[in-house]
Amino acid sequence: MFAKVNKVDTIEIMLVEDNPGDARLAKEALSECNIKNNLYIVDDGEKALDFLYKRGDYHSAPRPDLILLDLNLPKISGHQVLSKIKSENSLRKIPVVVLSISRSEKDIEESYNLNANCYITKPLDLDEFIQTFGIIQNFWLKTVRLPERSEAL
Amino acid sequence: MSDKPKILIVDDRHENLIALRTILHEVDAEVLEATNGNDALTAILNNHFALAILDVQMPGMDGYELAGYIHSDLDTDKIPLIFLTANYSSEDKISRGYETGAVDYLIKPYDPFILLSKVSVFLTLYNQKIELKRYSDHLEEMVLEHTRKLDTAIDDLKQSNMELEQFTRIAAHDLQEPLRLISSYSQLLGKKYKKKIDSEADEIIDFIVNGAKHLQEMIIGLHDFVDIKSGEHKFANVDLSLVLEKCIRKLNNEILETKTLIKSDILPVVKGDEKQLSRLFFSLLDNAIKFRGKNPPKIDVTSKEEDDQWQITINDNGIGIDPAYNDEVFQIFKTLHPKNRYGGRGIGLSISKQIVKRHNGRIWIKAEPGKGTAMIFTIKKKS
Repeated sequence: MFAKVNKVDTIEIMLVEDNPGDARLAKEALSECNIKNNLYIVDDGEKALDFLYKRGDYHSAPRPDLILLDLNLPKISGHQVLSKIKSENSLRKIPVVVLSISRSEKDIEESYNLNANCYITKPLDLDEFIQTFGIIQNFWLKTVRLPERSEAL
Repeated sequence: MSDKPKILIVDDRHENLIALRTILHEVDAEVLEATNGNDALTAILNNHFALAILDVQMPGMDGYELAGYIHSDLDTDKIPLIFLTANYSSEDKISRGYETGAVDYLIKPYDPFILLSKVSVFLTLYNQKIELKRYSDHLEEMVLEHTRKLDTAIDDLKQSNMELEQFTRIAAHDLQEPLRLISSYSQLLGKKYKKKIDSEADEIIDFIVNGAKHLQEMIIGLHDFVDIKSGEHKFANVDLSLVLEKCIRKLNNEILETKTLIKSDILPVVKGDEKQLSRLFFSLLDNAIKFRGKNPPKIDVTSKEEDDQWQITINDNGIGIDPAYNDEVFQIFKTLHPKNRYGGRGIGLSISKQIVKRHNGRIWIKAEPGKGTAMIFTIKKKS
């Protein structure tokens, strides 16, 4: 009944977030969830792509099971990262959850046009924030079925 | 160059010119001479004359011919001319003088006194004309200058207004991010350390959490305010009855809790932005419930058709508003009650006003303390 990923002990999550405060909150929220996870935080779009392509410092980076992507990033924007991931055969199956403070319909529309798996506006309230992370994990790592982990690059 | 008006005298005989010059000594004018038609025309092209006195009988170009030239040119055709002739001219000749545009006619020997008085009349006229022109030029210049200043002021105002809105928008947007962190981390602090330090610490944490929450609501309100004031809107047919129905559903919990009774006319379909109109109804209903009296709220929604607009009234039996504050309540962040008593951040009505304004309408209050509140707004049928 569970997706293949669930058989793996630990879930690999990549969080692309330039604000350390938000990253710390995400860590906090994920630590309250009941799924064992390794959280990797990269703070700009360039590093996100390096991580995914295992370039430079990230040569031994794991392939993430889930990507949490902020839109407002230095260097390479979240939209660009998203577009790159979704146009790459080896990466496009990784679910990407866009997390943004933006409520603008333009950002939402554009994210889905670039094949974001879902778009979530960061909740203002801490409890909601933690709940939301729980929902994200439960849904993407427990509820849905994903294809088997494909070959690394 | 002197500012004195100029008089041209034309005669082929020097003694006549001298005589004229002597007489004209009496008037305050510069006198220029010419002894033939050609020289006279050259002088006229190079100067502005208040008056020309022409001898009719001259060899070559005579006075009439000269007058013909002078009056055929747009630049010079307004120069008054006085003809002088030695002959006892026939009527025919005199009328020829008038035809060429002569304004006056003197037969030699002329009385210097008469000549002088005619000349001074023309000079006075000329001076008045110059004065008038100077005045009207100045006036025109002043009007132009003021129009320029006004245009610049309007442009500056538009620009600064735009910059201000832009500033507010950016501020309201960018402030949300750090504020969200303050709010989240103060909540986290509470979550982790409440009841672990002491009761004073708990109280302090509560103040931080609530303060941050309050600020968050205000900043989101400010953001929405600017967004509605100057952001995009989508106008389409909106059935206000449906809008009201949706709002009632959204307020279901509050309505049940307070045993609110809502009655409504069938409301019109208007041209408007559905999201904004929903927000307007929500705010007004929410207020009617929030500011209730001792009895369960009774809310009446009525609509009245007027010439080119609809007038919608939302009437309640709540605590009312002191008429002194009828205008103030529409200002952003304005609240009339101590914090916590009724909740509210002074955002709802200011946003309601912006929404009504965007629909080319007006919103106002009819209320008395203790006698309920009527919120009345209009919406143009065509926007």
